[in-house]
Amino acid sequence: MKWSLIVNTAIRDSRKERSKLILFMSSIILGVAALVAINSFNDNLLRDIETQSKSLLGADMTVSGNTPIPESLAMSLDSLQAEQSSEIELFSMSYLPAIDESQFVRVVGLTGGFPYYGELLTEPAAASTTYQSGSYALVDDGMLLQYGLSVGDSIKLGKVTFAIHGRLLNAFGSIDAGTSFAPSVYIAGTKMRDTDLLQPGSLVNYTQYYKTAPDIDLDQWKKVRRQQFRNASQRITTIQDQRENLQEAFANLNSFLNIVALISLLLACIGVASSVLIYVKTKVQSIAILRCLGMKSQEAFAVYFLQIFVLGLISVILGVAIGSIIQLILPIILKSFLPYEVSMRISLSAMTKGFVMGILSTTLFALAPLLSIRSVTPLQTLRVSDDPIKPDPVRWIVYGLIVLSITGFLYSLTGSIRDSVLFSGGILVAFLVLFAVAKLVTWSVRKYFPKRASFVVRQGLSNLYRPNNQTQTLIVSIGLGTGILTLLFILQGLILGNVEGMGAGNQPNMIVFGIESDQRAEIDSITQSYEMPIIQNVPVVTMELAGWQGRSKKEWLRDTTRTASRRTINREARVSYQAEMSPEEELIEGTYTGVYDGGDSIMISLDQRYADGLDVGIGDDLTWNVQGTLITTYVGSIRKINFRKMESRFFILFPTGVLEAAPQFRILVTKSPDKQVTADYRNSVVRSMPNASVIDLGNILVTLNSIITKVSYVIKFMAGFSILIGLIVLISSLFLSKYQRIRESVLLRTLGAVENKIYKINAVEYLALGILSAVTGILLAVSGSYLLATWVFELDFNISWIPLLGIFLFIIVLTLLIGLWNSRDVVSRSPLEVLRGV
Amino acid sequence: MILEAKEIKKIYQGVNKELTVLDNINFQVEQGEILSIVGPSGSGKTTLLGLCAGLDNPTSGVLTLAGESISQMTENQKADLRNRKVGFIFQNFQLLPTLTALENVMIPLELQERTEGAKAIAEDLLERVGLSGRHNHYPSQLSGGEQQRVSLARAFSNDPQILFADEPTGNLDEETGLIVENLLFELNREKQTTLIIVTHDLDLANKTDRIIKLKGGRIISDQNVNNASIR
Ligand SMILES: Nc1ncnc2c1ncn2[C@@H]1O[C@H](COP(=O)(O)OP(=O)(O)OP(=O)(O)O)[C@@H](O)[C@H]1O
Ligand SMILES: [Mg+2]
Repeated sequence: MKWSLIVNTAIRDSRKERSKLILFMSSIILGVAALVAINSFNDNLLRDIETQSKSLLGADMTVSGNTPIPESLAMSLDSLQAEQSSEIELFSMSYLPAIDESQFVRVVGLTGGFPYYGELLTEPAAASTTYQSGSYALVDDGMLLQYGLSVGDSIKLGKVTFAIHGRLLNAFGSIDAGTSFAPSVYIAGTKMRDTDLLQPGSLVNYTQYYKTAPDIDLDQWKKVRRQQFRNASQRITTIQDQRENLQEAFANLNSFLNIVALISLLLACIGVASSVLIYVKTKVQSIAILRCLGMKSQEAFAVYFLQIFVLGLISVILGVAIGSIIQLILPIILKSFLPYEVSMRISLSAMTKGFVMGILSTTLFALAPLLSIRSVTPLQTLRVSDDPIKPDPVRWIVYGLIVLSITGFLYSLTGSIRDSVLFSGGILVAFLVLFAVAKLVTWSVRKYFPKRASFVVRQGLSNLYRPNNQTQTLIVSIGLGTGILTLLFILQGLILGNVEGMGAGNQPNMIVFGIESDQRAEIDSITQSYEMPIIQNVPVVTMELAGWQGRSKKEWLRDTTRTASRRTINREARVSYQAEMSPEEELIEGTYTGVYDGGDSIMISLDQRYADGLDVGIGDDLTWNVQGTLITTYVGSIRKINFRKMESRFFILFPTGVLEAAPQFRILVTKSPDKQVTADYRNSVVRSMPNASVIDLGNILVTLNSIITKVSYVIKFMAGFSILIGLIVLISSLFLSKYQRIRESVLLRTLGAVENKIYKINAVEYLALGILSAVTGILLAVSGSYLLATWVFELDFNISWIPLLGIFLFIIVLTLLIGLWNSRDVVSRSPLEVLRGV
Repeated sequence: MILEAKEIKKIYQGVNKELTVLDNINFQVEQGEILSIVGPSGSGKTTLLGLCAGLDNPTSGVLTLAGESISQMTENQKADLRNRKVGFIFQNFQLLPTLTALENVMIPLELQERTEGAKAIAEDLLERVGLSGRHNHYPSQLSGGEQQRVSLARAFSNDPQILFADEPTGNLDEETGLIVENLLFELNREKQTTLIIVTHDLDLANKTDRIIKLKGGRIISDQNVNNASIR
């Protein structure tokens, strides 16, 4: 290879042609910028989720159990050298002397600086830092509202009377609504003993909170010791566990952002491929001359590859820079519009990913058209041939590499082989469909040519199949562009709908516990009188596991080789019974039996985690102790519970017709519009059924809601950004198509065609192209989004066709306008330039 | 002998029938000979030229150029041969639009990686064709005659053993055509190059040593012309 010659020729040749590569450069710049911006957003979002999970847990790690942490474990905990706080949690009746009422409450005795992340919100705010200094209590705001009490009143817990020191506006603890069902009262841990509530046999939860140095890998730490802690009935929870719960809820957002990133990159690649293709076409003659003068085909290829690669490299670097700048200035510009405080940071990993993917995809997508340079023959100097560039067989390797790198890129984003193969397969199919449509169009226009149509129509239509036509290029690029934009549009709508559905606005925020069976009608009518919905009204029977798989619980606990976890075995079972499975839950195995038929076997349904915890499967027997009576049941089905919705979920479900006579209470889940209604409703319920307690979940939902606001914002912004790139690429590839027709049009004009005719001829061609590619693209998008919605996002698929019609018309008008704009350029050009062979 | 064609046949595969463009072509060209190929339009002149210069492959037959059988050479070997021993002049000039006049003339030398002296040679040649003031002009800034003179300079820049010209004056007016013709013969005489010209122009053909007449893809006559006096 004659490198100096190649470099020289590449530089010289690009001198006058750089403007033709503007689309090439701008698509790369925009695509890479979007990729970097989206990946940084994603990273920032993950960091946000991390922060949120920390503030939900309040510490780096917690260890909890029904007993204080035994001495045997103290050693390894000390080795963490962590800051720590201890919490004693129990449920008890409280007495409110001012109004002579009692209320069932969750008493939390705290010692230490907990929470380490987030804060205990109180009113007055200072109360959260001073309550541990005396006989003070922080009391749930809703409960104070309910009884009309205020700061300064007192509350008696056991033997001690505490002064109400502040209103508690939020609480730490599990989001799992079923377990925290009483208003919280925080007191100093040291006062707990004085209350005398810690009686032997009373249900007490001990939690130790740890804040560790940032370099300690708690998950590793936990992994090693989990079994040891488990054997002592202590449970370790880390941020990671908490984050997994949150991420489950936001898995869709992540997938969506990944798709948007991929789409931006793909759009850029369409721009790259179509601009390089057109560029190569304009270069055929020069290449033929060089070949004629003795340049080898691989040297000619190297000249243009070098040109494209260097320009591509520059563009990728610019793109990474712009993407990072967007990250930095966006929060400043949008500050007043943003619904939340942004702490955008430049993400190095996003930059690297953008750079590598940018170079890789630019090279591969440019390579496909560039390869045909190798087949340009010197003969073309003697005779201009029809089809200036022949596809090169090596391109199949390039296509293969493209598919592979897209799959690899997707894998790096999603971490799922199945998903990445499905995605890239889908893109491949879309491409092939468009390709086939283009072929079909050229074939059928030629076959069923309207011979009697006017000159203009005949000219316009025959442009679709004439040599050197742009049908294939434009149908594929407009179709793919339209398809991707429509897909994005549909998915954005579906996901926003889903995310907003998860928001506090639609979540139940109140739970009433302890309703007697015969109060069912009464609680329903009270709820309805406040115009609140009855989201759930279900029975709960508490029972204990007595044994399974033919052995008693005692035998199992003695067995050191058992695979069942102690925690699951000892867990108090809160069981419900219902005739039908909730639509929010998913049947994984077996069949759900809703009604007991009076036969030999009672078929129950277990949650997957519970079944895993006990290590039992379909057909295994489980025996329950229901307040003294033993009932043997068989596992009939296994379900997956969706924790995204704030409703009571039951790990164990019986069919109806078994437990109706057992001692039980009911849970009602509803939603209150505001704090005042919550307080009034609580009053009415407690007045007519003193046994019931009303829990307000609003505080927990506030945190969730702030995340959701951010998520919706990010979705809208990212989709908008990507749609913008799509439009720019679409528009510029249409603009570029003018080089294709310029010779024909100028010749026609030289031959005496009036301006109007040229406009009309081009209008016919572009109209046909626009309609065909828009229809194909939209249909592809609808099927693609259906598949994505059902298989990846697990959402109900529904679309409104009116906006799609809008997109359809928009694309057609856009294609037509740019087509006409292109002919305007021809009309205003002197035929002389063409004769000069420019 | 610099060029030999033996039993050359060229068939183009049409949509549904074959088109025999050249058939049973035999001739030899000696070093330094000046030869013209004439014939009616469509008789296969350009096709023959393309085959002789190694731009295309015959359907059958053997072509030997500068002692090497080009039918058996790879594309790269042919490119190399062209670069070292062959020069071209085209009816439509075929200058690289993105290179200046000087750079266009330098290209064959640069392809030989002769960097030093290349510029001097190119400048010399441009001066010979009367374009010394136009080094940095692009083809689009030159007239047809000027462009063809640049391509003459380019054709001679690598000191070819054989030069192929397809209708070198076909796109030029009579007067300009004559200037280019004279330049071509002058340079040719200086460099002792073999010259093969395809042309419609009988006046031009008559200035060469030998005329091959083609018709319907066959050679119908191959005569020496005694006109050394005219040159
Ligand atoms: N790629 C091709 N496919 C089919 N037929 C071809 C092809 N190239 C040339 N021909 C045919 O070969 C014949 C010879 O063409 P060629 O260009 O050699 O003629 P020519 O003698 O140079 O004519 P002119 O004087 O008009 O330039 C013509 O009939 C032409 O139609
Ligand atoms: Mg010809």
